[in-house]
Order: sequence, then structure tokens, then C-alpha cells
Amino acid sequence: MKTALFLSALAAVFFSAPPAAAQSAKNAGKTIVCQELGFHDETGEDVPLANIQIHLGAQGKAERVVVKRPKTDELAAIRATTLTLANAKISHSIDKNDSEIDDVSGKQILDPETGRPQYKWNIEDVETINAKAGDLSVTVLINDHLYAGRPGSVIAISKGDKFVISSGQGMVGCTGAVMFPGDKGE
Amino acid sequence: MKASAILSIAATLCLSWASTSAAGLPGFCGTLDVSRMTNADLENVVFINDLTKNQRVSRGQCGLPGERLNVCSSCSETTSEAAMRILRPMVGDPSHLAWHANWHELRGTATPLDASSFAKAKEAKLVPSTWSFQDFNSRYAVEGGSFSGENFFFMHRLMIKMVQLELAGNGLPCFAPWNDVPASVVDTKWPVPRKFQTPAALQSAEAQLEGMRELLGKLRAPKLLANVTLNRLGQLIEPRLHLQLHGFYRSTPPCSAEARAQGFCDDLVPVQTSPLNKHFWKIHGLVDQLVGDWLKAHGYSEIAVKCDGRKACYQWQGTWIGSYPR
Repeated sequence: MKTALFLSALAAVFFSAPPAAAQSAKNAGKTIVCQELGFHDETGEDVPLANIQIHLGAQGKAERVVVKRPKTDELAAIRATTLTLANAKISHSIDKNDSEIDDVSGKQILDPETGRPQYKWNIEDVETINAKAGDLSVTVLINDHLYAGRPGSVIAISKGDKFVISSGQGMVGCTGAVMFPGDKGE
Repeated sequence: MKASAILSIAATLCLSWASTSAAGLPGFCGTLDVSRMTNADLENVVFINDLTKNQRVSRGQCGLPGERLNVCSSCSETTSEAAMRILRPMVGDPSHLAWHANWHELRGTATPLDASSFAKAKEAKLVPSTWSFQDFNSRYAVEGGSFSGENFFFMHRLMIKMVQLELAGNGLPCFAPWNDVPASVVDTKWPVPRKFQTPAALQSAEAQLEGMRELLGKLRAPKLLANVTLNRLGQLIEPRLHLQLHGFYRSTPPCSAEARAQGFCDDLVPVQTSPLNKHFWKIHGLVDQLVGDWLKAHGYSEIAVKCDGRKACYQWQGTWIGSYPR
């Protein structure tokens, strides 16, 4: 890719994505709610599983995580109301993965050399929350790639070094405070 | 075959003769409107294509349970880079990518559809002009639409057919569907396309894969299949196993090395780029196999757009596909 194009792409990355800190501040005092919805083995009906609330304090930093998951055939009930946070940062990580990035605003432009369209692929709208309580650890990966605020997130819960839920048998959707690049409102 | 169909095939072949694929063989290059042709017509197109090239190929079925579509010279476990290079001009054409992306987005996969977006979609002829916003949402909204799950199978099966025709037209084998999730993260044929820096990371990924295998087992359990509609089965699969597989087999960095070397991106997660990725066709092949499991659980041997009263035939109910790419 030509240098000029690369520089313009780089400029687009910097100018179109709000700084992480600014976005985080907008999330102050809000709550992210993630729900895992399973299904009944025989009827296929929805079965609510984990409910995870991530309370955000000043600057949108996570201050408290509450996890509730009912007993299932495989797993004992999980209830942890205040978990120590291994990382409390809520911010958007935007990966500039390589020089092929041409546009992050969604506008399609053509590569002058190949004539092929270039696509938006570089934004990693993923928030990872790691929380711990004793030997119980919870990782919530809030994923906005395909289903914003919809199923597509991941909850992993470990007890000691053993996974009790990994990726989840259910679907996980998170809604609430997190605002993603491209969103119109808060 | 009807005269009009023959004329349409002739026209298509004329178009295909005008273009030459990377393999030096004429292909269909997406000129066939697979959505409007019967499977028998599609078989005939491939037959005529073979005749014009003076080649005798024995053709058979690859995947697509419940339908007869004998267009494949063989059913290959792999998706060779040579085959992907043939497909990319078609599946990577902006109109094709937009077709798939618009279809997903109108169903409200990113954000629920609003009335003004629906009106714009109608103007762009992505939905029939006679449909109301309420009708569309009640049928096709990803959350709870009465046809949305079935339509998920229908749309992707149509895409698989397009790919099979294109491969057949270029003298290449079809892609066999996965029948299960790969055995391991470091599977010899289908390794996860990223490096695991620590044994713990590898172990975690294996646990995730095992979770998906268990989930697939649950979805394939005869009791569940017998109790759910095809629509509900689609709704159970799309946001769970399907989405998890898209995320799990995504490359790190998100565009595969092959794609980057050729100047494009085949990120498996965004709907705008995922059809360019070879894993897309294996994942959707696997998803499509579950249609066969469901048909069997309900005593059907066939699935069709029009069953015309055939007893063991299940008639598709959710057949909206947006605006077929031209």
C-alpha cells in the first residue's frame, strides 16, 4: 500500500475513534448487565443462566461485580456479590493490526492498486473484565463485533484452575453502559 | 426442462465463456441466479458446462441433506487456496458481500431494526414492497421472529449452493461440511488459526472447543430435535454455536495470512467479510447438517421451497433472502 494511503488510514484511526478515556467517562456510574441464556435439553425452551452485573464508578472504571448463576445439572449454584477486580479498566481497545487498514468510518474505498474494496475490520470492540473472589474467577468478554448489545459475548467462570463455564453453553448478551465506536447515543 | 430455463442457461454460459477464471476454465462467476433456479436446472447447467468443455465428469451430492443437487465432482475435506481464489471474485464481489451483510443487519443482528431503516431497505428493494415493518419484524427479527431461525438455514444453504455451482463450473471439488467441530485446537487439518503462547492458553482454548462439542451434541439430541421446530433450532444455533465458531476460528490478526498476502481481509467475524474466509464454508456446512438431523427427527426425507403435496417433504417457510446479487 502506498505511504500516503497508509498515512490517511492512520489519520482516520486517530480522528474517528474517540479516545478511550473520554468514552470511559461517559460510562461513569452505569452498570453493564450480562445475561447468559441457555436452553432446556429436551424442549429447547429458554433457561436463564448467569446474570452478571458490572458496576462502574468514576471514570467508568469497574468497581464491583455481582455474579449469580442457578444450580444446573452440571454445576452448583454460583453467587458472588463482591468480587475483587483483577483489572478495573473499562476502555475500548482499538487494534491497528496492519497497514491494510483504509477506513474505520465504514465508508468503502477502493485500493488504487488492485481496485478492490477495502473493508472495516480493525476495530476490536471488546471489553474484558476479570474479577476474582477466593478461588472463583470470572472473565467477561463483551463483544460488539457482530451483535452489539446482543448475544455474542463470553462469560468464563473458573474455580481454582478448573473451568466451570467456558464460553458458556448458552448465549451471552451484555447491555448497559458500554458505548462502542459508531454508536449514536450513550 | 422448460425452454425459458434452457435459454437462461445458454445466456449464462455465454456470459461465462466471456470470462475466464484463474484456473483457465470458464466459470459462472455468480451469473447464475441460484435463488430462482430449481436444483434440476442447476444440475443441467453443470451438465451443459461439462459438455461444452468436452469433459465427462461423474457428479454427486456433497452435504445439503434433504435436497438432491448432484453437481459435485467430489466432496473434499479441505478448502484449498486454489479453490478459494476461484471463489473470491464471486463471494468477495461488493454486491455479494453487501447482500450477506444487509441480510444479517436487517434482521437486527447488530441493533434492532427501526422503521426508518426499514423504509430505506424497502426503497432499496431489500424487502418486498408489500411488507410492513411489523410484518417483517414479526417474521424475520433475529430475536423471536417466526421464520428467523429457519431463514438463517435457508439463506446460508443458498450461499452453499452458489459456491458448489461455482466450484463445479471450474472443475473443482465441493467443500465437504464439517460433521463435528474439529477434534482439537491443533487439529492437523483444521487448526485454530492463532498461536497459543502458554500451555494455559492452549488448555483454555481446548476447554472452549470441548464446550462447543458438547453444545453441538445437545443440539443434535434426538429428543430435542423432535420437540423443536426448524425455526427454533435455527434460533438456538445462530447466537450460540454458530457465533462461537465464528469467533473461535477467527485468525489473529483478524485477516488471515493468505488474505493479507493478496491485499484483502477475510475476517471471520464481521458479516461484511466472513464469506471470504475458508472457515465460513466449513462452519455453515456443519450448521446445514443440522437441517438434515431435524428432518430425520420429524420423519421428512426432503426439504423444498415447494413440496407440491409430497408427504415426506418439508416446505421451507422462511425464504426471504434480501436482494439477490446481480
